[in-house]
Amino acid sequence: MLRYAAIRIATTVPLLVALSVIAFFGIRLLPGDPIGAMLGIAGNPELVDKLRHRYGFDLPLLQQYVIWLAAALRGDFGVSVSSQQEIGPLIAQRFPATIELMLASFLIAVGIAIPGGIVAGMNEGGRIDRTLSLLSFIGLGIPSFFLGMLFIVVFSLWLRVVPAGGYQAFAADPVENLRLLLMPAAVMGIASAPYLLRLTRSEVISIRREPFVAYAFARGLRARTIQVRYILRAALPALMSVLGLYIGLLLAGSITIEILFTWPGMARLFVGAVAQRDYAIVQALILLYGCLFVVINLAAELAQAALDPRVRLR
Amino acid sequence: MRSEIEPLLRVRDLSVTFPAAPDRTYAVVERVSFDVGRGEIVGLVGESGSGKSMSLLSILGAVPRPGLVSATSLSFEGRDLLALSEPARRELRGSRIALIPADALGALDPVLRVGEQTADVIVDHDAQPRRSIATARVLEAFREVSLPNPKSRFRSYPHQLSGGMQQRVVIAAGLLLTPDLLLADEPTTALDATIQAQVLRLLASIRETRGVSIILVSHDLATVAMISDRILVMYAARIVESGPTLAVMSAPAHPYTRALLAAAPTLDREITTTLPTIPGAPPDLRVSDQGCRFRARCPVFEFLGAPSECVSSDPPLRPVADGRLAACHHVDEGFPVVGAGTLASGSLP
Repeated sequence: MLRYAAIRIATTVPLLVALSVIAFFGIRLLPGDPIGAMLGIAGNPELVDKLRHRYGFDLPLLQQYVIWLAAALRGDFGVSVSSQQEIGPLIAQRFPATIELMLASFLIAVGIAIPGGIVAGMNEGGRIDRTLSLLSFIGLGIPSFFLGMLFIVVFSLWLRVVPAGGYQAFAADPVENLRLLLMPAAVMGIASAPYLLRLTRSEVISIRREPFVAYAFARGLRARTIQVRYILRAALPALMSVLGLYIGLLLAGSITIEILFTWPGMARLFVGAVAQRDYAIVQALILLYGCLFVVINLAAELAQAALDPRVRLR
Repeated sequence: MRSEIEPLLRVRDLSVTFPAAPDRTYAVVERVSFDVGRGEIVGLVGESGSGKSMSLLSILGAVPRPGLVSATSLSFEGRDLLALSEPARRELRGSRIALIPADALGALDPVLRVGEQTADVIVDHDAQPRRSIATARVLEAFREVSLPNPKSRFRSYPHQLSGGMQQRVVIAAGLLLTPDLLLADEPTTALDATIQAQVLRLLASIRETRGVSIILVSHDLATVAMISDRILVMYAARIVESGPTLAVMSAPAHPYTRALLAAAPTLDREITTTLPTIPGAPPDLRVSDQGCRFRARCPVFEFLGAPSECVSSDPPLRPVADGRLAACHHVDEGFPVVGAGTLASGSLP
């Protein structure tokens, strides 16, 4: 297991390097640059050159990349061209809100989808399964922003139980924080749950068809033993990797939801920075989102290996 | 009333049917009858799809849905199995009647330790289960089947064992609760020849030491003949021949049994000759047919020029010489054992 873990961790290094390349060069594929965005098309050419030189945009790209990466490794992500603020603190300030929203929607989605998928899979073809499958099929077709708008109309405009958006730091007012968290988290969780439910269901169904389940039955084991100790236990490793990928889906989905509910997470910062061609912010955020995804999936893979001895052989 | 000669297992007119269309069913096991006495090894031989595994599963009460089991009698120790409730049948499964599966690796849960999953049988059949006692008994069973190094094997995962060891594990699992009847479903097919012989010897010795009855299922007549007292030959959902092993092997009565014997590879045969096969394939059971099910592949049928009784009526199982039964209209006519050449010639698939 330790050997497997060491190999897995080592293989994430080239992945992270590739990620830094994408983070750095990706935004530069867009036409325009921060100075152009700041001064407009009619900007004074002399001023443009002066500013370019000041931020190092006149250096060769590769050199810029190396300078940026070296600083980033020390935790210095530079300064925002548009706001002149340091990027580290700028992100740190918004990071908790994004993580809180993601965790809450993850818990809601898992709370719906895992039990639902298990019940549907265990009763394949039965009434519960058909109902849940129909609901999840409908759910898959509804985009999260639409569901979000629906929720806002119903709960904020008609019923007036929660505000349509906003945020309160947990430390300042925990109750208000959770009240405001509820709707965006519910929307993101419910919108993504069908995907997770279907994966869980199909995993349970495929395990139920395994010969070892038939053999467990032939040995006269109790129905409960077969369901929990055999079917669910065997489905667990695959579910771990599904959850890892699912969190990636949430990371991407959270951007829409944060904007819709004016949630002060990293999404707003991100969208604004892309429009402003604020390279340093975009780079730092792509790197951060990417690292989160890589680390979460690494954890999922290690959990999978811990649960399935065959994975460790690979 | 239970008489002295009541067999351990009594099967009369056992059928297993599956729906073919909304209004029609077809039988994968059809009116099969046999007895298994105490301490007896009965060999059940047939091609894949002949209904032998399904017969085992119906004794176990583990026929997959939507299969339907019916019988005029299916009694175990005088108890009518089909009248039992599902909890009562579960009690019997794995304790009084135990299955030894064909594909041991597939039968073992890949993510559970071998010993722990084996012990589950004890835990789930005990009123007050205790893991520690179960563990001790599993280790004992591992020793009985001569699994090397039982303590470390207990903690192994299935994929860490060799095929022979995996097979020994499932045999040990079958023996744990000292069953009266072992259902061995092709226990040696996944193994190479030397291990096969070892496993067969193990089964024979278990019968000697424990007096357990065994139904040994195989597609290989020679394997079954090595240790069984009696042989049942199945073809297309029916028993076509049954009798004491020696009688069946030395003078098979049914053309199918003869063909099976001729098709068995032997070590003394010239390497250059082609291994004889039975031409054609078993009939599709979903198509209803009045006649003998073997006739399309039967050399006797061909030799006699398609006699009408073979086409119009399915021959019943009836007594022939030496306490045997055979289902063939032309069994008494004394055809010689059909040679390999006759069978191999003609259109090979």
